[in-house]
Amino acid sequence: MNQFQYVRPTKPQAAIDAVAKDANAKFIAGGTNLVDLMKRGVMTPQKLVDINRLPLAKIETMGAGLRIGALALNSAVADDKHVRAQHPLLALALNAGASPQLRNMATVGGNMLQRTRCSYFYDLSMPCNKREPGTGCAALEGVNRMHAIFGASEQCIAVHPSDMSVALVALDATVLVSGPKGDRRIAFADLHRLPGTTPQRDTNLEPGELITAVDLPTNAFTRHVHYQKVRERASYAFALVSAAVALDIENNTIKAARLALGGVAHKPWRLAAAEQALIGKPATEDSFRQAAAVAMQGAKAFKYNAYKLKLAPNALVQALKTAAAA
Amino acid sequence: MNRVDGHQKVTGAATYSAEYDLPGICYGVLVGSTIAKGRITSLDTKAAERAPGVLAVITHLNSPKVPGFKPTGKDPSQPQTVGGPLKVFHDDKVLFNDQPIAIVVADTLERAKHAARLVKASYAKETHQTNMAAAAAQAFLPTQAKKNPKSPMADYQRGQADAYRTGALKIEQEYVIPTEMHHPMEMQSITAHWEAADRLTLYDKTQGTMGTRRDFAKEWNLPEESVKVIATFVGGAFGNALHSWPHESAAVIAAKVVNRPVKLMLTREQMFTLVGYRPYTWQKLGMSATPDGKITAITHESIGQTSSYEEFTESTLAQTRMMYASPNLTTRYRLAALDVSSPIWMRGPGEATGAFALESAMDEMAYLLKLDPLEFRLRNYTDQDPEKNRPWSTKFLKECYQLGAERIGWSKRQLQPGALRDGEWLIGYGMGVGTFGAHRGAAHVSAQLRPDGTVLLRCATTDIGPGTGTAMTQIAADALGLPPSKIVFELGNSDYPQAGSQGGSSTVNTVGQAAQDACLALKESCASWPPPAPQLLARRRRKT
Repeated sequence: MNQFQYVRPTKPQAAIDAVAKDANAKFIAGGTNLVDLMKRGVMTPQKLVDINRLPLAKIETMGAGLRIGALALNSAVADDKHVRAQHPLLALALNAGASPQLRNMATVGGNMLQRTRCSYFYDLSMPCNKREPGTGCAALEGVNRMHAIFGASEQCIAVHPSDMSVALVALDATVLVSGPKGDRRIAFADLHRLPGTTPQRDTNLEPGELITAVDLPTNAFTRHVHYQKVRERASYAFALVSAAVALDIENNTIKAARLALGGVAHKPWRLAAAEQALIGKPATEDSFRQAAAVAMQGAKAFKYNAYKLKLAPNALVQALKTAAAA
Repeated sequence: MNRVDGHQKVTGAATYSAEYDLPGICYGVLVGSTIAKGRITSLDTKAAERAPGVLAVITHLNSPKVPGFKPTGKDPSQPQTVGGPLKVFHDDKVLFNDQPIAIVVADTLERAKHAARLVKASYAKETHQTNMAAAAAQAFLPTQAKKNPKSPMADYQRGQADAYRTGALKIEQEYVIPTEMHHPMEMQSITAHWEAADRLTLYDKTQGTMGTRRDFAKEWNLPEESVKVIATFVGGAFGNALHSWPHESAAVIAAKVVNRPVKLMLTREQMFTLVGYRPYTWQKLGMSATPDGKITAITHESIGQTSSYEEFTESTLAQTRMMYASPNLTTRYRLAALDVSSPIWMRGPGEATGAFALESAMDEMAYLLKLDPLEFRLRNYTDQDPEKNRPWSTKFLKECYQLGAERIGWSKRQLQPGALRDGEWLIGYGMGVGTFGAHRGAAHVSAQLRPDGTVLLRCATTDIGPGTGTAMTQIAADALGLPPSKIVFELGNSDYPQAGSQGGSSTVNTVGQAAQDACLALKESCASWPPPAPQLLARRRRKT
């Protein structure tokens, strides 16, 4: 591991200043991803700004919604009574991720900022535009069975690995950010980026910007929800494909729907057109199949991930069936 | 009884090979090639050498000459060689991806890891072959079969060759087993210590202390007694510690260079590239039968994958020759060499691979005949070995069929697949037969009655998890008429009486008999048994 400095500020502004002023500084919270990346030499920050002493771990009801502090642990959020009652989809997605040990370390802010698990990103002997811009994308012609089927570019076909983020994008979350230029709010769907020609940038955060909380608006999705994660073993594996679905059903007619896929793109993949296709339809497998077909428009597979073109709609249908039956 | 070493294992008191702390110990980290085939054209080790705590960076350019690394006289890039284990840091050739091209030795593991990342290599790449489908086109008869037509790897035939082709009722199917990795919980590790210029002690993860001793005595041209191998605890192996691997050679070389004990533990990633795996295997099975379900012919072909530098074979086809009474039977075993590291036996080695194909084909044939798969097997049951025309010593397969069928409710099975449902689940009943030889070898065990009334048994055998120490304690307790608490069985040390490797399901069969014999001999050599009270005995000892 490279030598690095380590500081532990107690005030958000001090943390923001420390990172904003130093291009080689990184925030660290749970460290469940960054420490691995540092051990492997994939990321080599010169300075770590430990934010665990900042008062950002609260989960509280705020008017017409819920505010989850950026430092709230994944396990604490999944177990929180407000989350379980008002946003059960988020609890399901969190519990589908990683292992209990990791969920006890990982924070909400860190979870959404975790880096891709593309094996070429991790392998220093391979070209990777995300790790070293301009070197090329080894996954494009490589073993790309884990890779994207939506929104990829010639520069990068990696996927975002978070389960939690798939639920958050479906639930219309908003990310609260503090930075050198003050505070701002980012719609969750706008936090992550598609790779385009700058795959080294995962998100739209500016240097020094710190996620402080996530806001979730109150919604009607308290019952008919499901997070379907398809993976190669029963636990502790990243999704090949995952589907987060939330339905508002009245008299077997769908009033509202929220759909998102994970493991298919550089960002959690919200399915707005498929949601529209469900409105006013009966909650039947036929409706779900039609919506899944809409969801898959524009999907493009690479050599080893064509299975996702089948798996993704099937996972979506399965999730919708399970949610409707709940 | 509880496992004799259970308490040690669950409390962390058991010492595994990476847990020995010797004075002056230092840490080795391997640098792997990043190409699959070619030559190293340059190595930049300066930054690594200058990094804090680094004691040595060893590559093919500065490695001491290992006396056992004699040239084979053949070009190892040619697949037809009989070959042998990789000669670590021997020359500039790269034979597989992640082949060790350097070892960095430092005073701490972290410093060694950091410096290892600073070693930079350039290569002249050659076209590699890592695609089994392409390599299978150049599959070849194993050298041992070429040399010896009676080898079990040679082509076999009884009756007419490939007679199934002319059968009226026949099937022909291909079966593929992809590469599978052992990945025991404990990763491969070794601590190599040259206690003198000609005395080597290895704390090593191995399934055979004697085998490892032999390998490294040969590699360093030492008498076997000058090499000591200690493997008191082994955290699972499943076959991958039946061979000596590149990291072991590298640690021994490194310990020689720095003249200090060197500890080297593989990373989980290196476990994929350096310590064997079940080889990718392609099989084809042709079978014909009469309408009333008698097999008339079987042809079973297999191509097992090996490396370009070492021929690895396994008995994929042996059971097909003896399992069913088929008058016409052909087997053909071939190898295909890839530019990857060598495979090795993996639990239920070739036998499991072959059984998968044979038994799948039996099901296919039964389905074609519209016969119950169990009934089909019974109609082809054989009371003697059809390959060797000898009666079995024991065979209880019919009884096993019957019990199994009763226990799982086989009679409820429908011939038509997918006919049974439980809600959204399809319910299937299947069967298969596996065989494994009852292997047995020679072993020595010493037994000593100690003044405190306990009996100490020793053997060089290892215990990779099945509970060898516990089984031997039970056998000794029975033989001696003593409670198990009075027995101490020590193992995993090549200085102890000799035994073979723990492999092929042979340990209890082999070492158990030696343990029993040693106990009976001890009992006989005593004037009275059970031995007198400890105090009395102790006094007697002192008198003599």
